[in-house]
Amino acid sequence: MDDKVVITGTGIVSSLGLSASETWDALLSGKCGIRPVDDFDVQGFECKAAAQVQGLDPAVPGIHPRDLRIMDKHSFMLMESSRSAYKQSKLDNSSISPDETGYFAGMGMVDYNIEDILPSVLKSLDGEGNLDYDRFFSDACRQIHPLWPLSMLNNISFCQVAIDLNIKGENTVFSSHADSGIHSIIEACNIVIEKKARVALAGGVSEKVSPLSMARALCFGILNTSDNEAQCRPFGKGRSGTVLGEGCGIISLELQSTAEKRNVPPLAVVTGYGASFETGKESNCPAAKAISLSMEKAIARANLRPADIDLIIAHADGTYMGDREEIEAIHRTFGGCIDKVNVFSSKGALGHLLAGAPAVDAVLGIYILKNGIIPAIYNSLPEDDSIEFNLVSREPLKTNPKRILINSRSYEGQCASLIIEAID
Amino acid sequence: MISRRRVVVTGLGLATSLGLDVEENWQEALDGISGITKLALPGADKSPVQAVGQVTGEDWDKIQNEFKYDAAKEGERRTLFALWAAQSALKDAGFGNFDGCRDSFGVTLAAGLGINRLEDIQRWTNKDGKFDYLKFGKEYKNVHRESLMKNNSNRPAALIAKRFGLNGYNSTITTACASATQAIGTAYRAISRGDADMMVAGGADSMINPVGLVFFVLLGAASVSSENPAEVCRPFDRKRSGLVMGEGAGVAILEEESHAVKRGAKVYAEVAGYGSTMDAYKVTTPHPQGSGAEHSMIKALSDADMGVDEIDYINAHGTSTKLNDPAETLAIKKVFKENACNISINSSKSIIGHLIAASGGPEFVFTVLSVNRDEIHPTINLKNPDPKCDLDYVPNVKKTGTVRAAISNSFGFGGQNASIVVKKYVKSGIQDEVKI
Repeated sequence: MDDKVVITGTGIVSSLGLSASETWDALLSGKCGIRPVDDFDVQGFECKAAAQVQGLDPAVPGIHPRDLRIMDKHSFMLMESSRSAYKQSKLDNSSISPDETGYFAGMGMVDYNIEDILPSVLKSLDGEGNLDYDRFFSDACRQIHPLWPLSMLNNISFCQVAIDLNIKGENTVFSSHADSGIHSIIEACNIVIEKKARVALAGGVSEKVSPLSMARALCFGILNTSDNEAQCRPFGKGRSGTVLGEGCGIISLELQSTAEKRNVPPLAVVTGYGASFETGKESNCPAAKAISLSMEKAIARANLRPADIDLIIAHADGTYMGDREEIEAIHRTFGGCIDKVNVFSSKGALGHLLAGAPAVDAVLGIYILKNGIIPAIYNSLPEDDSIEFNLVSREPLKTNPKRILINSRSYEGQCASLIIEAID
Repeated sequence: MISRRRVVVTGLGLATSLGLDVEENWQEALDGISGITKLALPGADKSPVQAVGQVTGEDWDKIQNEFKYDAAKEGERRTLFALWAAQSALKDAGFGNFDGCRDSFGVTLAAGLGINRLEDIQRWTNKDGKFDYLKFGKEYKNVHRESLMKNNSNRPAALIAKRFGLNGYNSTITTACASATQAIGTAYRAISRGDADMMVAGGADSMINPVGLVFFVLLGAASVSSENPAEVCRPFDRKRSGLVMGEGAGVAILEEESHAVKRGAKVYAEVAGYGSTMDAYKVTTPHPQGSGAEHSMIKALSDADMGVDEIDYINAHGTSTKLNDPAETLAIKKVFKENACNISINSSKSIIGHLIAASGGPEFVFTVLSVNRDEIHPTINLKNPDPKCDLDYVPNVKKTGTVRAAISNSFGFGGQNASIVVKKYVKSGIQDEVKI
């Protein structure tokens, strides 16, 4: 019998709370984290709302002020979630050495604060207000703080967490959309299976909601621009785009035998994963065929059949095309058992966490396995007419799911799926 | 018992300051011809950085022309370099028709930072010197197509998969200068464990733009020398003055061995092992004793199940910075002990510059060619020995001699390290799975 990969630690930061349990409780009681953006002037944008993380103290305990300079909200979210998963797995650098601890994360684009580069731009302008590169190179570039470049590198916050937790083992950073969060979990699983690390943290963190991230999402045409106060309606009939969310999810993975030896209770088993690529004809989001391929690869790797899946936590980000392709993919893959499949999405309440989304969904999946209840999707009603599966959209569903499939996709064609199962 | 599949290299592709053809790159590298020239950008005379490894205007036109109907309209330099190198590597691997293997053909690519365009800030700055968020919000669509707002880091990998119809596993890695080696290592693992049969793997980057150029100047890592550009990058030399930026892409086609054998593919070499570590020391400087670098080589060797006496060549990270070169030398000595002085070491950066996130791409291509052809390109400009760098760096003149196996190292800003082992390919017998 093969040793299984189990999850022994979790950490979430989201717009609904600064811990996994806070987020779960709020989600189950039907709360939504989407609010008007008020920390920068958002009025010009066609989308004025986001699910932003509130109350995360930038003065993270134990962080040197020198390091705080190059940290931003994504760093604090990653730090908090990683520390939480690390602690729950009872890691302390002694029972498992830093060299045998791996770390993998999906990370979004890291945007600079415009004010950090503005003085340099102003000093580069000629009398007419045009950019003059003579001025920029000879003098104006010195207006930029010497450490500013680090705040743009998206592996720096990752390395800062590694320093904080003293993690020295196998590692990488994937980017930049939701699939990257699952790619990090796939690598972490295989690292512990191949015994190249005894434990590995994995997951992903969203981008900070900023003028640049908002502009980027709008350039990709994914945001809901039709409502006065934007809402995200996963698989909803009236869906017209997603809403950005902030947050992070990190899980700790290790072999069941390692967890038993260390006396750490396993929370769930990771049994399957799959990844694929193909864009749809009318957009850059993945085609139904690709989403089916990634789900079917995951189901095959877990040695299951589609009928064995009790719940799908869909990517369902509320984009018209993206959700249409995912609905079709679920119909295609689960054709023989479509009326028995329950489907949930967290994005109506939490917004779209990009690289942070799938690990947050995996942690929510653990709470669903433990509590035997699936929260109701926020804001899906009325449902898309074509749906043949059971969308948990009206009220929380008391059931006893054992196997959960989690989907993720990018806006460029990548998709990835993950399967977690209850501990026997 | 975990069964692992063997992974071989069946195609190579490059776009560097030396040219767009692998053989041309290789011959010039062997001859020690530098690709580093004087910066050609508006305002270049005033730039603190003068020497860069630029893809020439002629080559850039050729790339744009090749992709003029699609990618040249929607992608920036980094993305087009990636497409060029991937296309060359796919052609080299002899692939025309991928039907039947599309679902198990993936991409793992390292992508650089993208272009921070000062024009994007200037355009929406008021007369009173404030950025006008309201106006920007209304006009964001007008940002240039090369802007970060239109180019996510996963774009190059996506456009490769889209253009060549590769529907398998697709991921992007962004770990600063370690990215491309980590991408190739990740692709190797995906094939080795059975998640893919073939992968396009490597990296693409271009930071030769105003903000990119001052990036490493601000961090104190770039050379600001105004000497003859071709002589500025001098890894392991006592008078080295910092990194010299290059741009381009390096891509390899990795393939499961029996798959390659079945279709009668030409095999360059075998990927034997991979390892990665973190310094967990400081985000701004590498560990002074090269401890992360040391363990990354140890992990790669152990993954390859090879001993320290089996490596004949190391393609070093060799950045030409004050801190990296002695730390890397020390790490090599710690790993290889008395064998260290028998190993030929070089730095491809002396010739094509530091391709930042992509650096491990062309360096992997050169490593594979060395193993395949028993030739090692020189580290050029190495004229003043540094007592702290006292190994054989193949100074100035190429070396010919058996290369049984080699390691390519990449160490990223922030403290992420990666090493990959390449060895001569020997065809499998009846038993084509390695048990570990």
